[in-house]
Amino acid sequence: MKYWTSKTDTSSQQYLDNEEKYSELIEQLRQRQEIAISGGSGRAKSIQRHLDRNKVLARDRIDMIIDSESPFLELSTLASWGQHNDEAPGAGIITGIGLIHEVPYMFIANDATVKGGSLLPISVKKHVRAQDIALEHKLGVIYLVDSGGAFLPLQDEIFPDKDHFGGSFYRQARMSAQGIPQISVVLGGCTAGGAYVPALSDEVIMVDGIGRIFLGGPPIVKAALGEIIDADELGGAVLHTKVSGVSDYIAANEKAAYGKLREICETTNQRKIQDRQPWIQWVPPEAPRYDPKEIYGIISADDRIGFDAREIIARLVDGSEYAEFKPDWGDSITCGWSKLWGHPIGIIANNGIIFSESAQKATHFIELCQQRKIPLLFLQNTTGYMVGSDAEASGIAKHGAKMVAAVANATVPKYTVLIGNSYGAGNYGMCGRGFNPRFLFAWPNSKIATMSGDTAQTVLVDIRLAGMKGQQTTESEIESIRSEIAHQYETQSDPYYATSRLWDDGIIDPCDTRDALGLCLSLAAREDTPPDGHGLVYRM
Amino acid sequence: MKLFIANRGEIARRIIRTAQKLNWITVAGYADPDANAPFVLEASEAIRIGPSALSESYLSAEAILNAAKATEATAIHPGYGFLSENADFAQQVKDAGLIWVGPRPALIAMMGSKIEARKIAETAGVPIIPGFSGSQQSDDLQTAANSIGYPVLIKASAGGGGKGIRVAHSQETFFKALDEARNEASRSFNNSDVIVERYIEQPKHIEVQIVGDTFGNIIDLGTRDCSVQRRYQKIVEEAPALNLSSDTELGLRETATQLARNIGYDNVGTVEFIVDAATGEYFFLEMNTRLQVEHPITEVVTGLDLVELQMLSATGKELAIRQDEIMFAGHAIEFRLNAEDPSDNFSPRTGVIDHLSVPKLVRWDSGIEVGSNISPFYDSMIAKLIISAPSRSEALTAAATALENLLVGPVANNASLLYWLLDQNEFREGSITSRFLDEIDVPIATIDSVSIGTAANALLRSIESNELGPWSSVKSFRVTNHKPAFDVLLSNSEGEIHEVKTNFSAATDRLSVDSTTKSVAVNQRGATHVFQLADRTEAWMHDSSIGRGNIGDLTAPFPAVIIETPVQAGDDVEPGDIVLVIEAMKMLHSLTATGHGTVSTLRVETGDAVQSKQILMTFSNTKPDSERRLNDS
Repeated sequence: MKYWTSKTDTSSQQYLDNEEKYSELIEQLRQRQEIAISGGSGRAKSIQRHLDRNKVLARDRIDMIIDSESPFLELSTLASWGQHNDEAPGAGIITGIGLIHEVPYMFIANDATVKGGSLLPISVKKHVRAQDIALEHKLGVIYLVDSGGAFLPLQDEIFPDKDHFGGSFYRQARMSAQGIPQISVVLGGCTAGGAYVPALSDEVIMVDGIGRIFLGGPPIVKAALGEIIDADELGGAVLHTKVSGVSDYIAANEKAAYGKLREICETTNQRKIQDRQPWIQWVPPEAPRYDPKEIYGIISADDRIGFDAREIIARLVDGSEYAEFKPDWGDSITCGWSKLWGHPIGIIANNGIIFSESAQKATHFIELCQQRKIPLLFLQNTTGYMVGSDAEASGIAKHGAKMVAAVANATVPKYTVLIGNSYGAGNYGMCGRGFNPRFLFAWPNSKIATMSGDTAQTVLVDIRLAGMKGQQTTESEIESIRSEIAHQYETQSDPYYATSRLWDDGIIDPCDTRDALGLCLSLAAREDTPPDGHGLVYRM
Repeated sequence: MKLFIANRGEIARRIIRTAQKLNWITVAGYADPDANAPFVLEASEAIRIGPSALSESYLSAEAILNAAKATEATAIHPGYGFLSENADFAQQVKDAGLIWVGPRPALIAMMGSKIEARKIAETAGVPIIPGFSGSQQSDDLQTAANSIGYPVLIKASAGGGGKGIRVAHSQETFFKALDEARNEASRSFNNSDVIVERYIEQPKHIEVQIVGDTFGNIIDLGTRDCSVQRRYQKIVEEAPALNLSSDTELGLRETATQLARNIGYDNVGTVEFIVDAATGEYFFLEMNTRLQVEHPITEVVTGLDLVELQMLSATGKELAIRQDEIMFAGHAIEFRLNAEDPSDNFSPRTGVIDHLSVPKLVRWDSGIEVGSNISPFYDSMIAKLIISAPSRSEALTAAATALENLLVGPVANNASLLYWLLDQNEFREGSITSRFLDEIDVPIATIDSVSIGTAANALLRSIESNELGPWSSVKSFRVTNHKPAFDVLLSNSEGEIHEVKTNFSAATDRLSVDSTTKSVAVNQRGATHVFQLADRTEAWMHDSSIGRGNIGDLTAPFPAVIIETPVQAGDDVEPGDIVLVIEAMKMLHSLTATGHGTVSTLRVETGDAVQSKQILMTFSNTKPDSERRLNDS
């Protein structure tokens, strides 16, 4: 395969300016991650209290469990960022994928240093999202339970609805029935509903002295029955392992529990990460010819100035090799085939506004990848589909719809990365969250909204003024409306606003993107062949 | 010339080296365990001489002569040990028409008997240690001992190698010591004759290297100090000898050459003396009519090839060097590397050498390579490390550096002891006596966690596989700043588990990784520690299914010997109670109860040797400990 010859001048002033600006964005991302890991008000104290009880921090627990030096693909680290008075870094729960004896598992670990591990609405969303990923990839789930249960002041947003807490138990039970292992290690409280996480698990380990399971804790028991009982006697590891049978194994300490957990995982009879199925033609991987770090200098500091997506692709794929499809037609979208960490991949990336031709080319390409069973990678950087009389006359609506329909119906694994703008229906056609990509990651420069802030100001100010017809409006009133709209769009299109609400699976550094996608593709490669689509490839 | 080598290991390789220099063809005669030994591969030809039993191979004159004839050898070099001082064998070699690379058989016979040798030495005016070598009647020997004065040394007349030697400290213990010496002498040499002599309390073992030829020339190549011994065997030798007054040195050398001249000595040999460190007196000990193990240090300080001199004299060449032409330069130390555990009374160790890395700038005379199997059939000496420098103090520094850079394992060896010796004042001052090591507790070689971490890092780095794609290649990948520190478990050759975290800063010298055995060797204070990765699944699980108040079966944490059994079946125990005392590596360890319960079975008794993880005791009636709160470790 021919490699893409980069046209980037890494010594140009523009490149250097871009790089400097992007480095600031990365610095900001790292600082915010740091806060999610160990920051937030009163967090230092809770961390100390946790350690004083001889308990291991949640991320360290995962490191103790997974294979030595293996990756851990953490998801939505910045969930809840800017919400709940910033008191719930990471939403108090850590999710991600790691290996145990070379078998990938989804980890769902409560972080008891955040609000005592109690679950906020966004925590439940993160929990459910992790389960959905596990179900789709047939990943066993390891629940490291250390939670104070639902955050009761917000019970209405946690408890009753479809994808609320009940949905997590529904998923747990359904996954277990499908032969997807569900294993719990109880490292703290599991009260009321929380008790069902271990109770619904295939196998349960409780750590003596810290793990407790009960439907009602000592205060409720006292109130209801007048019975005064110590928490450990009521629902400790000894009781549940030796008397009630709610737990299968008792461990003297966390280490022993993780040793036992790893032994359990030797018995689950799951496909290993290297058990690639024949539909994926894997080849030994190669590094890109160009340093991924150069992406910092390629992405324009000014988001109104575009950049060539092929320069990005050349820094993500094996050997920078890219077999471009239909390069001379519909050039505001580039499509082509590459290998990523050895896996075949079809890439669709925006080079600006989507025109009719670009939409048709992308549709054709999606059908080809579906026919060939090649996973799809969408690199979003578009302000949307073209508007205007020429566009409408060319049938942009039906061409855009073809692309959206093709994306929706493609059964091959799909991955999306927001590398720039994600506006309007462009988000849909380019496999936004609503189209169930396996994973969706955002870069810290990305923007997501129905339209750009500038367009919104023009459009919305006009609408407002039209709604106030006849009334006198002063220049300052118009300016006030304009700035209100500008502020709303600026805030809501910020990638941290998006990631906080779990519109994505995390903001990642462009330099980590190749590796993260490689890990994701490896997960898909151990799955069975994706179902056939309609099978036809239409020449658009 | 075609030289048959009637020996093995390092000395066989040493002989091959000189033979190649002289363009002699070499034949290695080997016993079965040595079939793939380095000396067999390096010789021009090789022939099997017999099975592992020494009496049917290296000690069988018949087997060797047959092999020499079969390979049409024209000369036989006996090396040291084995048949090197067997006059009958030497004679048979000559009778078979082959050249014997050694002195003429009569000289071997003469010096081979300690009783005879003493008489000859006495005649030559060599000072003799007060002793008795007359009648073998026990009463006569005891009378002699009484008149010499206790303590006395009883040693096999035909002995060597520390066998058949006992000390009697009083008249009362004399017969017991005599019996033991005779028994051992009889077993080792098939001759129970002993001699009794004064036991010198501060003995230094000094020897003089002699070279003669068949033209009556005799020269000496100076002194060697071989006072560092363990169980009567040399482990460190130095040339020249230390702290000798010039009078003493001259006296020793002249006495030795005089003795050699008196008997018409005609090859390479060594006259050994005991020097009393207190008085400077010296006494004749014995004469070795062969090449010594420690010959390299003399070669280093004189620049001469002693094996070459042996071969030239044996083939009737006249010595080409006169005494006044010998130039002595610098100081040399030889360290004998033995496959033995110094902390276990120097008992020998066997196994395969997976790791071998030889330091630079040293002479390394060895019989081993990576993959060599140290078998139980032969001597435990596996190599000699020879250091030389202009001065002794520089040699000591160089020796420390060399031992710090030597990697040899996982077979336990005495390198750590050799390194430890370098730090001992007695050794540095040169005042060490041949009993020093027998009277001191030898330290156990330990290793700190930083070095284990370094070793773990090297081991992990060596296991590279692209097989899993990014999941194995992108080490420790995280999308966040979180820096994972993984627990890495390593087990050493005794099966002890060490646990370290990754993220150690790693100096990567002084260690080597073997990808075949997936093990790493790291040097600490001279000792080579060899580790393999251990699986945390098993190691950690040890404590699963153990909860509060629930005493699991008591198992041995490592191989050990049961010393005390303070509790018996039926006894109730409380957490923290000592239930067993075991000993390992000369250290006592107490095993305690982890909860409340009753001892149901005690499966061991005092003196039992137990394996790691063996169940020693089981419990019943385990009860929760209501005192215990949130505190697991």
